[in-house]
Amino acid sequence: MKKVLVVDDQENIRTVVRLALRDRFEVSEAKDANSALKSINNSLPDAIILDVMMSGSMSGFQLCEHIKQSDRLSGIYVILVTACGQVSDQEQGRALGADAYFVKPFSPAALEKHLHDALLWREA
Amino acid sequence: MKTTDTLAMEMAWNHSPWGIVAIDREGNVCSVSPSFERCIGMSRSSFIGMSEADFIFQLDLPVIDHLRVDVASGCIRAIHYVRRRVTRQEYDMKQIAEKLRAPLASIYGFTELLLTQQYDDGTRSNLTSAIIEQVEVMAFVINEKLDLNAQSSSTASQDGSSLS
Repeated sequence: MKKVLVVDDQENIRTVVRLALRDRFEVSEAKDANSALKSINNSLPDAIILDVMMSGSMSGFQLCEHIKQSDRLSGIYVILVTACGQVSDQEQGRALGADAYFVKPFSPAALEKHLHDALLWREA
Repeated sequence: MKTTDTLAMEMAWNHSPWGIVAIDREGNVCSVSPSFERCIGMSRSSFIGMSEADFIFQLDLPVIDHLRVDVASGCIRAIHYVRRRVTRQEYDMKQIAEKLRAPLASIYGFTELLLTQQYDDGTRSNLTSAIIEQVEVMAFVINEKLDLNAQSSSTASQDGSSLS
């Protein structure tokens, strides 16, 4: 089973994503960027679903940039999830190397399908 | 007679797309470009003589792009460049949209899961309770940020208690 790390400071969003993914993925959770980095160091995930605006010292954008600039971590598929609906925010996410961008509110089923297809395509 | 350079400087000062504010060696605002008023919508004259700290404090920074450049010599200590990025109303609406998107994401997510997945009674109850909580969060944001009065919000509520 592919491993997915869900990083969001809102427990409800983590729960939604976990319930949507749990049949086809091994899901772990982190409530902020520092916890996410610890989790990544313990067990490298195949994908990260990452909230952009989190409480704590590092935003989702910063964590995304850190991941994509690291030789060891850059292969992780990163999906940014955000309440920022503006095109400029999405462009910033893309510029930092994010592989996909979902704006809240989003369909959990669509997120699950996107992730499944993306990781399947990478394997092929 | 003014040189071309001087004329060009005057043109830049008067017609810059950025408002320009000069700070003297004592740390006070000594000159404000005409474009400042146009860019920021605040009177130039009220800033003359103001301390640099007070000037920065007056700027509505979330909606303003602001750049400070140190000047190494002469009677000017620093130049500030400012321009309005968005209107205050646009900024506030963006903030409200972001505050509403978060609970909406939970409501959408939990509702879709309840419709498409099989859960035991306990889980269904927990998800339904979470939806109601998030509706209350949305109602709070609407009431607080969009300034609806208590009467209209209680009318919108079924029982006039939980959402008002």
